[in-house]
Amino acid sequence: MDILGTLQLGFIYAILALGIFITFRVMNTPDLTVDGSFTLGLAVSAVLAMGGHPLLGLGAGFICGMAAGALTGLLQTKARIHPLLAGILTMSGLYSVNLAVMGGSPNLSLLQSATIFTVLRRAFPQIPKDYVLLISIVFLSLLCVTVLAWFFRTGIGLALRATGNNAAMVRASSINSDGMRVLAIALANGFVGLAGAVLTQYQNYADINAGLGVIVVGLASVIIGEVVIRKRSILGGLLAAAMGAVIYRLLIALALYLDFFPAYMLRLVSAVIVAITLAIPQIRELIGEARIRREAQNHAGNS
Amino acid sequence: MLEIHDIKKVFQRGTSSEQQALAGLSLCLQPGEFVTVIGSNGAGKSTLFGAIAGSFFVDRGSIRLDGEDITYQKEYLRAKHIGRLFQDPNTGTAPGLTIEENLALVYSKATRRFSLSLALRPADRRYFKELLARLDMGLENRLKAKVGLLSGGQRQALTLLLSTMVPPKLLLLDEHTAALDPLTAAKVMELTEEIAGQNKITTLMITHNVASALKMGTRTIMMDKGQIVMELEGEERKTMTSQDLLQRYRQIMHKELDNDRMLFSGEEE
Repeated sequence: MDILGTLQLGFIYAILALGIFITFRVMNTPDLTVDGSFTLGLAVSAVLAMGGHPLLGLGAGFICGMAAGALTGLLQTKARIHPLLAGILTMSGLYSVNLAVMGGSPNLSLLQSATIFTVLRRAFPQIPKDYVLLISIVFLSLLCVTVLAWFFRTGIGLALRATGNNAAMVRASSINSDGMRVLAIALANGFVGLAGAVLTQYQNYADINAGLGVIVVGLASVIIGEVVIRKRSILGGLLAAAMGAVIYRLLIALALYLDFFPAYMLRLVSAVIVAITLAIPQIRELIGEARIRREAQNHAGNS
Repeated sequence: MLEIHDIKKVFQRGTSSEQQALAGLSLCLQPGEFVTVIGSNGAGKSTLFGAIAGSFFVDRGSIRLDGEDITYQKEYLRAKHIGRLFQDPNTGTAPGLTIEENLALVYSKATRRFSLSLALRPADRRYFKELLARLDMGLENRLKAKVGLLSGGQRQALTLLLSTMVPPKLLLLDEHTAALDPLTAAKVMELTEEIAGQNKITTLMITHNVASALKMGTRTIMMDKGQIVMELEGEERKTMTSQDLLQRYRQIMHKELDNDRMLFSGEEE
């Protein structure tokens, strides 16, 4: 089992999980834009890396992700389209945009191009390649956690969290809650785009279908993280999401290594994990009700 | 301070459930005045508050606050000068945020440029403790508790604090103690009077409690069918008992019922 490789991938997906955490937990609305914005970040980053600007590719991946998120946010707030549908519309439209960005080709190879990772490896020739990758990726995702943890304690960040909590209260504080919602979804997709941008340079290729189902991967990460880190502060939540992504990757790698299921079953397993976890409160309630009924019947039988 | 001129609002116009919620209502409030509003369900009391706060635009008429025409100003912009409390204690606070975060959000927005600087500073925390101590509910020691963990009364008191921390030009209280137990309700009412009085905030308060409608403030208005049907102030109000007011209320309601009957019988003829 390739632990280092799994950790590298895990910390890249940690950035994705941060984005999902913002919409799913902070704003309380799962956002389906991510399947499209992930690929958008990936496509933009790949094309810019091929053009000789790998670092710019990461920045552009973030910005383009934000733009996609802002569009979904506007559809939700200005056009009053159902949040899930708004996300689906953007995601669906982005498929064409992503293909256009990639020049109409469904996949691109970066093997001939400089990426941030080839640059970093050349900068630190004395450190083994895998460690250069791991350290830089861990550094980047922890930087993202730090920036977000700080942001959510600023005035705007606080307003953003309150909007997900009680938008009426935010308006009563004379803050435009619609604007906050757009900003939140944009920010979330910015991080999703960044994750795609990093991933493509890491694996040296871009694929138009790379974003398929990343929403489920992200949700699974957030949920797994919450099981491990139970502190419900904002920093706790961010760390949980990031760690959840890493643990998710480790679990998947372990399952594949032990040959629990073939690789193509991955998506199904992820979906089942998410579905079960989200259903747990309901399952608990059903069990509780069944117990009350049983005890009541026992009681009636005894007397 | 507040000048409402002949406002009208029809909901669901053109449908079978069309309803004239405000029927040419005018009202003037002097700076610092505390006016209580009574009336039966559906009289248009909450609609009046909605119109003032900007939950919707009125069809006709104008609303001015402190000389400024706010008739078509967006709700969140009006909120800068208008504080509003509802019956449901959950409406005014963010339950997932801590007490200090709720306070910091409102305070930093009102006092500093809304920005990317930290919302909560050490000096703020001391100030918040002071404010909370005045509520006398022990909240000053629970700054880091999530607001969702507080009781309804505590939350409503906190909401009152949030909406008056920077005194608004107008405070709208929509039965804000109706969902609380009697003791807590009395306590929140007392705080309301104290805070509004100290800061001389112009206040409108809807209540179903006739006694507090007469006791609080300096003027009482009664609404029915989207209009003000009675105003009480001065000597007449001072000497009026709850019984008298109920009596008056019945008289006015009966007169209208009689009018309705005449109308119907007229149609039959």
